[in-house]
Amino acid sequence: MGDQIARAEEFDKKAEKKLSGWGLFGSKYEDAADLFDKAANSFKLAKSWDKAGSTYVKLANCHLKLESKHEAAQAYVDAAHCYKKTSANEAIACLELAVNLFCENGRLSMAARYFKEIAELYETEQNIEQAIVYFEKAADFFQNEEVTTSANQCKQKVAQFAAQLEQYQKSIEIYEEIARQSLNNNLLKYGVKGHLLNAGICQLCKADVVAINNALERYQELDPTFSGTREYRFIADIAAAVDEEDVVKFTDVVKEFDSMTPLDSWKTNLLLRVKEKLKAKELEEDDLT
Amino acid sequence: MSEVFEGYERQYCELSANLSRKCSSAGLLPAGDQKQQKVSEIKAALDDADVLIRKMDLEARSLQPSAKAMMLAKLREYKSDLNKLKREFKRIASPNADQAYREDLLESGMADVHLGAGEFSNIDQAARPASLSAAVGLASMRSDDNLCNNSSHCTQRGVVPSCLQPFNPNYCHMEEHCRSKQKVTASLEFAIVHQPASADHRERMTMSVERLNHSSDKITESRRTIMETEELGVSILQDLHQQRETLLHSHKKLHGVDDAIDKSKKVLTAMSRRITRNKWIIGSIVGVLVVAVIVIVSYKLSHH
Repeated sequence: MGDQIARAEEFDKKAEKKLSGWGLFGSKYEDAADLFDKAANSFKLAKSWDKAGSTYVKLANCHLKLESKHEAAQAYVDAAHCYKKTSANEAIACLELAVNLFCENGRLSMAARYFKEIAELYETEQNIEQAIVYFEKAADFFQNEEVTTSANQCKQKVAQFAAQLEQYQKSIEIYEEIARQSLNNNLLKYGVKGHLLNAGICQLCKADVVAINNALERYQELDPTFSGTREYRFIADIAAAVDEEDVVKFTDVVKEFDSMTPLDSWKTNLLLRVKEKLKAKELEEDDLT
Repeated sequence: MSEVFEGYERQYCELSANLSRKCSSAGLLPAGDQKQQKVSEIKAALDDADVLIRKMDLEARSLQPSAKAMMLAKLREYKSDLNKLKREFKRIASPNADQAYREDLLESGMADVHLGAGEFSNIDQAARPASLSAAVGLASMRSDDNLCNNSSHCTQRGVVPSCLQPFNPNYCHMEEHCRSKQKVTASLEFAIVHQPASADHRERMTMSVERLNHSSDKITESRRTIMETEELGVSILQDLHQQRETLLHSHKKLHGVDDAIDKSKKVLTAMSRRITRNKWIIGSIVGVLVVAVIVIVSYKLSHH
């Protein structure tokens, strides 16, 4: 791909010259933008992502001078995609600029979509707090645009991360909200028990026995079929085990449920926390007695 | 495949005719070596008949339901035939008429239970009376002296005393308890615990227990797969919902675009009208100017 790089460099130089010189008819920015575009393309083909990213940023500047914000935002997005392959931080910076431009333009749905991307980038970097922030922003924007499914998806992620960070009340509320909304929808109502299960697990992590029972009753009211499902029985059994502080029973119930449907890592983490608490309580009691 | 069945049928008929002859001849003989010899012969023949019946059973079950029903009926006949022969044999073999009657009584209870359980109906009835009652004692505990003996041994399923005193049971209780345990697995275990006269039977029983376990494993496996499929279905529905929203959104956008195109069409027609109007105005002004120039030039020339 050596020749691609050479071509790209050529385009780049030409474009810079155009910018620095005085063009006729004031068309220099458009020509420069065109050349930058070609250069960035060639860089991409040559797989030199950094250079491609920087060229896209230059392109965006040209477009800004030309007052075409949409093009500029698009260029920033392209830059971010190139930077994703090398360094996530630069990508995030570019995406933020892009999102601002989209907001100014009034293209809120695209802004929401890119907020979600930023949040996902933070997630891969394990920066969970920032990820939560951005997922919330994305969910808000999606809600404004009446794109409820994407909003729900973002909210779910928020709830997931909140539970990981031990903000159980927040995630419980979110899950219950989602479950309520999904009930009305014919397509989504089969997913309701999954959401209620997640909410139930968060309730258990809060370790408030009265609240758990209240919650279970509430869920039954919400969805009459929930009480017949395996998930409900699972939560009820665990609640009973927690009540009796019986670790063996707890493990048995979990094992049985796991044998039917394997538990994913989020659920296993939370259930492990519950188990630790239970064991700690048991040890405590032993100490007292 | 019914030729196989018919083949078995023929063999069985031969065998049963043979057996009945031998039984009658043995019955007439006085007790002694000859009798013992005959007894052992008959025993062997009975075992063969058992094997045949079992094979016929498997055969019948693997066929179509129409032929199956007929063959199963035939099979049931053969089985009852065989049971009769066995009872006769026992009567001949057993020294005591009382015991023989007792076994008859108990055996008939058992046989009814087991006929419904497929191939297990051929549990070896030619067992010693003592061990039979011992196994029955599994199902019921009576505070009888000998029974206490039995029950203490029999509560451990795997252990059966090899020799037990004949005792004075209350037959009806045993029979009741017997009938009350009509589950296949119970009868299976009874048969296994029961000191069988042939290891062949025990083998068969363990095989069938294995098969049952195997099928229950399969069932749990399929249940698991069903759960996975259900989850998959739920996620597919969610995707569909999202796509539905996207489609509705784009539908709305397209209507917006449609309106925008109409507006732009109007704007363009207005522009083109204005352009033609301007063109005419300019053309007319140019024309007027040209006429004015020609008039002035002609004046000048005519003045000269």
